[in-house]
Amino acid sequence: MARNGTPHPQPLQIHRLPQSKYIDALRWLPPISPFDRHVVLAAFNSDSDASAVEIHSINSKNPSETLTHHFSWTSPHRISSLKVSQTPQKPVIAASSFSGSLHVLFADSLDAMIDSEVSLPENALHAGPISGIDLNENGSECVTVGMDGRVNVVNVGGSGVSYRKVFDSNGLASYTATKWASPAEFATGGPGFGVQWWDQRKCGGPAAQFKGNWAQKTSGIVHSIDIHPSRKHTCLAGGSSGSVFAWDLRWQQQPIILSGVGMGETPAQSLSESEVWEVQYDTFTRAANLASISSARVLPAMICSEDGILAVVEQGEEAIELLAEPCAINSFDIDKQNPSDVICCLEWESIAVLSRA
Amino acid sequence: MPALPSHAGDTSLVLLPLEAPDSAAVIPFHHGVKPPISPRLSISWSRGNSLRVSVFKHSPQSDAVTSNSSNETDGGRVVELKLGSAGDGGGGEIDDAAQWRRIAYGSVAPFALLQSRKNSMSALSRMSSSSSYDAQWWAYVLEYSREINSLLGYQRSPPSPAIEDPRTVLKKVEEPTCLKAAWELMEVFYADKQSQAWLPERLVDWLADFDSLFSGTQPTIHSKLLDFQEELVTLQVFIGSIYWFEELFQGPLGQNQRSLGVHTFWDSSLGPSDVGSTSGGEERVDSVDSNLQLVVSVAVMPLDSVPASWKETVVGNQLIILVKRRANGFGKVLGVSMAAFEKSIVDLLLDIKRSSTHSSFSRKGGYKKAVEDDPRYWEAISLALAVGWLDIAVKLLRLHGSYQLNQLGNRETENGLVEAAAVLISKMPRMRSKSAAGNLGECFKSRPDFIKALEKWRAQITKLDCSTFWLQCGHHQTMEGLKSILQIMLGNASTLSASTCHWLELYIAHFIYIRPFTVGLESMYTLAQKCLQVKPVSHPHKLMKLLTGILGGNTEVVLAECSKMIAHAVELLTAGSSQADIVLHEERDNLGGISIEELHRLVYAQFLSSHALTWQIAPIYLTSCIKQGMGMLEILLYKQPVHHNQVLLKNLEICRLYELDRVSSNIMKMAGVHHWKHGKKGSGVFWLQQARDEFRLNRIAQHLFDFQWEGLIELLGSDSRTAGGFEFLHKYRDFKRSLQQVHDGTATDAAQRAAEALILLMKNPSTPHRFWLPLLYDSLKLFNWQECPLLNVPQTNLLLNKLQELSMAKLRPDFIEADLPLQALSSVRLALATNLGRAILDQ
Repeated sequence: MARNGTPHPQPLQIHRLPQSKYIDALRWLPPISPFDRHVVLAAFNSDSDASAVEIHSINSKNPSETLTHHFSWTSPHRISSLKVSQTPQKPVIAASSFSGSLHVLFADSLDAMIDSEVSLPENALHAGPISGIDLNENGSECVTVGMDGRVNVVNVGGSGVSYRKVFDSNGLASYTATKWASPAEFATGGPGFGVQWWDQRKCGGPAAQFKGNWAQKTSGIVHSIDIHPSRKHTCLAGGSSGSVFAWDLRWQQQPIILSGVGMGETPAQSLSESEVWEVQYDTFTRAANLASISSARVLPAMICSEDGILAVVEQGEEAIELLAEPCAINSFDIDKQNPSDVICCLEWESIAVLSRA
Repeated sequence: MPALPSHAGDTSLVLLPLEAPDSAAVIPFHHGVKPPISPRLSISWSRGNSLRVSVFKHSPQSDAVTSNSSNETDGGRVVELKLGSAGDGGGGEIDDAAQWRRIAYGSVAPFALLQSRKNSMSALSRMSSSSSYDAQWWAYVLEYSREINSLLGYQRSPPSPAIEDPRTVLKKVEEPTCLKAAWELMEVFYADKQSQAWLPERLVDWLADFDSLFSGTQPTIHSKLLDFQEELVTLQVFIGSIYWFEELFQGPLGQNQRSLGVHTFWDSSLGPSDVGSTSGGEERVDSVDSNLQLVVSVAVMPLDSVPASWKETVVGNQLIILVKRRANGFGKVLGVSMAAFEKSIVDLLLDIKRSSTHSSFSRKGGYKKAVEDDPRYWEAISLALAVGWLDIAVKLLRLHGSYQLNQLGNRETENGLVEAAAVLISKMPRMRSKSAAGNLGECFKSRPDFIKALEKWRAQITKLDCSTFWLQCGHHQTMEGLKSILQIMLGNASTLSASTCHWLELYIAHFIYIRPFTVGLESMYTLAQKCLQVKPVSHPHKLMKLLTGILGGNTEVVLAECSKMIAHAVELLTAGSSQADIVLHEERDNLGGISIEELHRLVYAQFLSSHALTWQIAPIYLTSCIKQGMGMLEILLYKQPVHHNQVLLKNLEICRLYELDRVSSNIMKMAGVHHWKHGKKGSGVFWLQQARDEFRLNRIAQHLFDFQWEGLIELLGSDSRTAGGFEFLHKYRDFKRSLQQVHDGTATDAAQRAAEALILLMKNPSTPHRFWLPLLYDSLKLFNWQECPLLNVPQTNLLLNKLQELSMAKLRPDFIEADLPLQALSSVRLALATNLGRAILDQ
């Protein structure tokens, strides 16, 4: 396997915690206090075929002392996507399932328990699995996308739950990832390295779309999208063949390729050759001089991949490899309040907790 | 296993094992198929221990089950039934499925590394044969063995106490497992070439770690020592009780009074800091049941940690003693029945009266029941010593009563003898590189040094044995016990036999005390046979079978005892024994031409494939199988469901890693067809494009033309690589667009572009015949363009030829008549003829 990234130069503490169940996704819960931190896991127990959303408290002083199980909500179906709103006073956890149901859990910030829950059953939103969801900043709206080609916005604020169909391609297009950009706008991604920009004020289809025909040899699927609150015009996308690229709405024709194989004329560095499962802007690296980075430059991003790489990529710089595991890294999350800390879940039923100094 | 559909509820399946018809298991399940249900039921094995049961709806019209995206449940339902649990339990067996998976995950990297090293080593050794390669190879094998070994134990070792409890004789490090024991045995014999010289000592260590595994089927030294350890705790508990009785004895009890006062208790081993003070460290109990003359007792324990209910539990004819153990910090509640208590008390009181030599009591010291009076104490020392657990033997010896400060004066000679024995034990010469942490004995690496030390040591023992001090030893049990210990150290066969429980322990004792120089499997095997004769077993433990298999060079037996680690154990066997190497690598006709090594890898890969979380590591093992591996890998990959996106991508990733382009392309085609059939047209086309499946894409393109093709093209993007029919669709779209512009205005430029697009379309072989006429008919305006002829002579001739071809095609039976006005053909012909005329003139 080609490993072009350099090992992490800074002190890095890694704790691997075996779980004896498969973790499909994981997120930090906004902390109540600096000493009381929790993570949310989408766990799947293959022995009992049971799925659950679990809240574990994590010992920040000594993460090797495993996670302490705190609360668990049994999910009727296996979870396909998990998102948490960054609202410390009342965190909202949204989980979509492979059966097509959506579950929104309201956590109590004081005891990190789940107070109440609203659900939409299978086949209400999508025919088949929901492949991607995203919660908006205050956790009141959740966008859902699926391979069936539907795009829905679910309103979970106030009383009950309601949804409206933004678009239905009737299967002509498929969507695999989504991310809010503003209260009215969001982006989606799908096969063919396609990225679509949606504006809820304009109906009848995407407001802008990008087709990944720059990949000459091979095409692929976008698995994850991130949009930085300070750069709402740029979609960061990660997908097949190790590709990570940024699509700037202001220069729609040409993407900025951060990593990937066989793309464009100048081959970009390739961290990984397989699926990039998740991308997130890395708020830790150079958080201080964020303002000094030119708005044309893509902010540093963290990725995790099928071939076991967790790394930070930056435009025009050599990537920094944080982890190189013998198995896939399915999902990761950077603690928004404490961006030096990262958790990720590994294919071989374990979790790794990283803290960067 | 015949399965009968139950007529009662139509929801349960009765499984009848053929050999035991009485014990039928009824597994109810819900299938959700509305009656009438077809009497036909399909049952097949699914992954792991699951049965896949297909229940069909009974439909008299058609037997075919139509799979349609919207009404999938109409034809029937497939239900997966889990049968029992995978684990079989038992002492030291790993029955936790998650633990097994952890082992499976962890062993992937060492196995893959060893295989790649093996390949590069064999390439190197072909060029030059040097012994340095051998040494390197052994280092690799040992590294592999150690890594696998580290996976096999349970990792949850309790935190070691800061202060060691003097009564804890046996240390509990980690829960031993049979699997780890078996692996270590294999490592000792096959992988660790460095330790071949001190193989007997390796076996001594091995038994020390794993003797407890044999406890399930027979008494072992480990289990006996464990019992004695419990005993020790009880003995200590009585110390306090007696102190209290002393008060009774001299006081109220002597006057036959039943009422009792307050009594404090302490355990002498707790030390002075815990006793003596009455502030919070003592529990005072005043409640007394006058009918039962009984009582109560007490604990040296912080009050807040005493359970609130314990005062109540004290009353009754139970003596409850709460002991705080400093080492691990928790109290222990001991319940002693009154009858037993009274009997011991009476014995002890008599003892106190009779003599005060070996027991003393004072307000502070309490009464110590002399441990050396207990024959089990001496037995425990002998047992530990016999199998070389020197530290335990010495530790026990030092619990001897003569070490008590207040007794040293009276028992000086006796104490001297005990200490002499303890020193001799701790100075025992051992032939090994280094001692394990905390182990006693003096290590010698070279044989002559060891022999010299051994002779000297034995001489010292003999000297002590014949010393005159024994006559001055007043304590009979001590003398007897020590003499027996010396006999063990001198290698007295009958004493060793008496001090061991099963043949393996005796075998180890022989290595330590009688034949420390045993080398070679043959002589080790002979010795094992001898020990088996002395202590026969009716049902030998699997580890015993494994050991005799290794010693006897019986490869099949060895493999049979390795259970699920067999595929990994083969690596050790082939490395460690040239005979096993031949046996395991030989291609066998009865196995379909594969070797035993390959067979076990394939079986292991099958085991991995049967679980949804481990199937993806099976390819590592399959690709290491030369004959059948790749075939089975293809089957495995084709079997994975294509509708689950993550599984599909994982599947393709495996294809990429092993360069299985053909398989990869087939899987993408399968995924494409699946998505297409289930209404996900976009994903379907995406995967077919990835697979470069022009045939299906053409079919789809023709099919789409009548439906929503325009929308699809929009969504798919202008991908230049799209082949076949899609190329046509793209061109057709471009043509339509320019034609639209022509209709809107009269710009010649736009018309010219439209004409060019038309020519491109008509030239393209992928444009279906049936679209020719509609295309030409749509372009009538272009042919009759007022300003100038848009098509030159060759272009017009091309179109006329196409028209001619079309008239011929009309005669073919598969011709589809376009839905156009009747005069369409003639008006196109006329327009083209006009254009031709104008074009010729133009030239």
